[in-house]
This record gives sequence, structure tokens and C-alpha cells, in this order.
Amino acid sequence: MSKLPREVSQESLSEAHEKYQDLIENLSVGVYRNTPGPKGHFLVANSAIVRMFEAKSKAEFIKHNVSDLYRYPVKRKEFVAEIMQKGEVKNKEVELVTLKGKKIIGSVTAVLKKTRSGEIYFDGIIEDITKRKKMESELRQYHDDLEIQVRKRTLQLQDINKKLLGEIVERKRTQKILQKSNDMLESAKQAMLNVMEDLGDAKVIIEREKAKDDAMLASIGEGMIAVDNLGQVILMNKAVEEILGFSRKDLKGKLLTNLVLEDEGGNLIPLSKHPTTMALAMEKTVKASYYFVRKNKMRFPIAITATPIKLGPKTIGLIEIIRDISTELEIDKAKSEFVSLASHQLRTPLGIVKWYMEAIVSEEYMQKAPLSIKAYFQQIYKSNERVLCLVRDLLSVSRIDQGNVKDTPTRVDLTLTISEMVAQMLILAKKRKIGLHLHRMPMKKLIIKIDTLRFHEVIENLLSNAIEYSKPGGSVEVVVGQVGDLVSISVSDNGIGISSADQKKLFTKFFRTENAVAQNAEGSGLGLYVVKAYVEGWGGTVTVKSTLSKGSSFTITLPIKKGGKKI
Amino acid sequence: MKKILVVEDELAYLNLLRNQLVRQGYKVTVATDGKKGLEKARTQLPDLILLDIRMPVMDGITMLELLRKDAKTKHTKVIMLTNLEPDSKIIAKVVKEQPLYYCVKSDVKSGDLLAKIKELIAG
Repeated sequence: MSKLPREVSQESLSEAHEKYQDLIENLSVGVYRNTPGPKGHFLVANSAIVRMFEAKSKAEFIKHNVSDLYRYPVKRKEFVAEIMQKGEVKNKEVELVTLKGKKIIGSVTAVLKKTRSGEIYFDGIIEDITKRKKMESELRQYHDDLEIQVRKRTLQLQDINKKLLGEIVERKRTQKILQKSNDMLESAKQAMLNVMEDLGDAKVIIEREKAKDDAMLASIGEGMIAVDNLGQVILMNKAVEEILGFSRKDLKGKLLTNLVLEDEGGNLIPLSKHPTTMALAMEKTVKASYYFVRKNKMRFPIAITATPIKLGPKTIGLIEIIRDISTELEIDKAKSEFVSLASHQLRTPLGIVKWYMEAIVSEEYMQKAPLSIKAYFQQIYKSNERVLCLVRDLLSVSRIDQGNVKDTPTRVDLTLTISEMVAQMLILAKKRKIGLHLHRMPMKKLIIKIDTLRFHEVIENLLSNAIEYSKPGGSVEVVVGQVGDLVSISVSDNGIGISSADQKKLFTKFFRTENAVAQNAEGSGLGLYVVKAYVEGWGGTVTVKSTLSKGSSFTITLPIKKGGKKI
Repeated sequence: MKKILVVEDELAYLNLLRNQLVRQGYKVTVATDGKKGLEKARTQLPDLILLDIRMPVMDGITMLELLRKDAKTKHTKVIMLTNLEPDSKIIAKVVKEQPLYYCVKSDVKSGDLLAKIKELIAG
């Protein structure tokens, strides 16, 4: 069945309208047609605009006036006015509000249309640009903020710059002032340098002296300790550390009297006998030998010499010299042992000669021998005795040096003993044509306790010296007397005498004056050394008065009450 | 007849002493070191011993100590006859072991020694 042309056109028209309707309905932008007027009514609206304004349906949306959708109604009037005047509005941003009250911004493009009958309407599209606007706004805000920051920073920089400029100016001014003071300082410095140079010279000298002192202090083998007036250690050298086994730290500031010392038997030396205490108390040099025990229990002998340091009359401290004397003692001991052994070895052949000579002389046929032969034998015997005597002297000296003299005192009548000895010596004196006389001042008995053998040795030495070094025709006077608690024995001669220079060395080992050697080549030079050692060991004294070529007088004194003590 | 033991390593001394003592009428035995001397002292039980100190094998001091430990010879008379100067150690030993006499040979005349021996052996 065919259709009529009008029907056909009507159909195609309606079809086109549907297509058009479909198109606008599906557009994502809002499409509308509304009427002008203060309120305005929607004639057409698509889904997008309904969604945009949050309406429940198209029907509900269309019921609302256009002006309801404006945030500010006055803007509707302006919009209408503009479109009426220009016929169109392009991309006009309008502040709108949805039906639910949400504020949105729309971009509107609209044209003015007229119906055939002259009625005016607007066709338009609207796009929700709220998000874009927000972003734009944020961007602008950010941009503005940045701008502000930059401006602020610029201002700050300008400010700083200004300040810097000010400072530069200030600095330049200061620099000028500094330059001026610097110049002044420079000249002052030059002057100072001149002074310093002078001082430097003095300092170098002082330092050199100090270095010398330090080197000296360090290189001294002996330990050296300085203490103050309380006995506290102020200073010490390296050797002290080595000798005592204490470090500087251990000793510095400590009392030196705390140094534990022992005697030979291991008894502690009391504080009052400590060299430090004694030297400080007596303000005199004190010498002592004790034993010291190191931290490692090693015990060894030390010699201490404490010398006061005086500042005017005041003792401000001590210098103590400490020496490890073990080697010395060992050498001494070895020496004495050697002498002792050598003496034994010397004595054996001499002793054999002695006894065989005695045996021969006592034989009957020797009694009948010619006098000359007897005299020869006598001479051999005498020489042998002389060597034996020297060996005995050497032994005495060795024992004295070793501090090993045995002393066995017994009660002795001194005057009797001496008169016996004088009597024995008379033979020798007569032979040399010398008078020997004993004068006993106290007529009563004089009893003392003494080691008889060694007392004999002393008196014999003095008597034989006096006889030996007298000229023929001379005389030797022996005087025994008592002065208070002391006995004195003097032996005087008018012989060759001793010069005052020689008198000083007279009591040393092996010393013999030139005159003595000339007079008698045989002496050992040990006799007076032994005399002095023994007598002083008994607590006595020995003195000499002599004039060269006029004679000598030796006097010994001995305490009566005191017994012998160890030498 | 009194018996005397002479302990001495030096033959010159030994021979002289033996001859002189024999002439004095003593019966004399000799030994040349302390060890031999000790044996003879134990076996022969002399009335007197003349004892040297410095000797090989065994010295006189050691021999004296051993003599004094033995009951048989505990009280035997001993004269120390030596050229050794007594030091403190020797003195201490000698005092402890008590010989009758300590004599330094070169200090004494042989006649005096013989007199001393006569005196001691009689006493």
C-alpha cells in the first residue's frame, strides 16, 4: 500500500524530528529552550541539563523557573538583556545553583529565536565548568601565592641587599680604622720583637743551662732525690727509679721517710734514725748504709747521703744521693776472700820453713855449730818471720775492711800488760841503743775489758814504730794515765818525726813517709791503719803530735767502762 | 802409749809433725784428707787428733762435725791446726763442735805446739 506524498513528507519530517530529539537528548552538554522574561520557563531540556541541576526528572526540572537556577537573580536580568540586545551570548560564565542547592558555574552559549508568530525564545547549551573553574582558581591562587612569595622574597632580598650594602660601607670604614691600628700595632710589635729577641737570648742561655742540668741529673749513675723541709719528694732522677724500683709517680710528693730501710740483720730502721729525718733534724750531712727491699722482694745494700739545702740559715730541704752498693760490697768481699785465701797459701810454705828452721836449730848438732852458721840461720828465720808478719797485717786489714773482726774482750790489768810488753821490747830497744821507759801515772791497778790479742797488736805497733824510727841514743817514753772514764796511753819518741802533710795520711793503708822508708825499708805501712781501726772500734781515739826531726807522740784513749764492740 | 792422729794434706807438715811426735814417744797415725782421717779416728780411736782445715776430699771442719755426731768419737780431743785465719763462719763451727784448741801454724813455734800437745793429752 502506497502512501500519500503529504503523508510521506509528514512521516519523514517526524522521523527527522525524532533523530534530532535523540541527538540532543544524548549530548553530554546541557541543551535547553526557554522563554525570556524575569522568570523564564523551560520549553525544552535534555537529560544532561536535568542531571546537571540534580533534578529527579525532566518533568520536575521543567516546572522550575529559569531564574530559580541563578545564584543571583539580578544576573538573569543582565543575561536576558544582553541576549535581547546582541541576539546571542557566547561562553558566558554564570553562577548557578542546583535544585539541591549545590553551587555550580556554567558556561552558557545561547541564541535568540522568534516563532512565526513573533514569540521570542532562547535556545542554548550549558556546560558545567565548576571543576575547571575550581582548578583554574586554584591554579590562579597558587600562581598568586607564588607571586606573593616571590614578591616577599624579593623584598627580603632587597632588604638584605640594602643591609649588605650598609655593612660593606661600615666594613670599609672599620677596615680603615683597623688599618690604622694595625700600623700602630705593627710598630709596637717591632718594638716587642726587639725586646723578645733580647729575652730570647737570655732564655736560650737558661734553657741551655737547664738542658745541661737535666742531662747531668739524668746521667748521674747515683740516684738523686730532692725533698722539701718536710721530707716530701720534689724531684728525682732516672737512676732513682732504677735503683729503688719505684716510678717517679710512686714517689713524687710522698714522704721519703716512708722508704723502708733495714739493717744487715733485716731489722727495720726506726723513723728517728732515718737519714732523711736525721739530716733535717741536725741540719748536717748524714751518710748511712742500709739495706733496701724492692717491690720484687729483692734486698740489696744502699748508701744514702742526705745533704741539707740551705737558704740563708734555714734548711729548706735535702738532696739525697742514693747508691746501690751491692757491687762494691761484693768486690770488697771478693777482695777480702782473696786476701784470706792468699794469706793461707802464703802462710803454708812460710810456716813450713818456720817449723823446719826451729827443728834444725833445736837439734843437738846445731848447738855445736859455728857462730856464723847460727847467725845465718837466725837471719833466715828473721826474714821468714817478717814475711809472716806482713801476711798477718794483710789479714788484719782484710778483716777490718770486711767489718769482720772478732772481738773477745777479757778483763785485763792495763798497766801490767803494758809493762810486760815494754819489757819484751827492751831487747829490741837495747839493740838499737834506745832508752825505753814506762811511766805509770795511776799507781793502782787499771782494769779494762778488751780483746787481749788485738790490744797487744796495737801497743806492739806503737812501741816498735817508736823504736824503729828513733835515732841511736834516743829515748822512747810510754805514759799510761787515767782521765775520768778514759785511759790514755801515749808513746813518745825523739826520732825522725812526721811532717804535718804526712800526718794527715798517716793512718791510711800502706802509707809510709819518705823518711820512714829511708830509715827502715821493711815496714808494711799497715801498722797505724790497724791501730786506728781497732782503737776506734773500741770507742777510743788515736792522735798524733809530731815535728819533723824532733820526734813524734802517739796517744790512744780508751773508755774504761765500755767493753769491746764490733768493728 | 798415747795415740795421736795427724790429719794433714801438706806432706812437709805431716812428716815433721810425725817425726817430732814419734820422738816425743807418741804412737802416730796419719791421714791426708778428712775422709781418711774420719775412718782412722773411728777405727783407731786416738787420744788426740791434730786436724788441718783446708784439705781435699773432705775438709777438717766437716770431719770435725761428723766426729762429734759419732758416739765413739764424740769426746775425742781435737786440736785444729791450720794456716787459715778463722773467719766468723769457722769460729761459729769451732765454737759449736768444741775442739780443744785452735792454732794457726805459722803463728806458733813448733816447740810451743809440742808443749801444748803434751799438756792437753795429759789433761
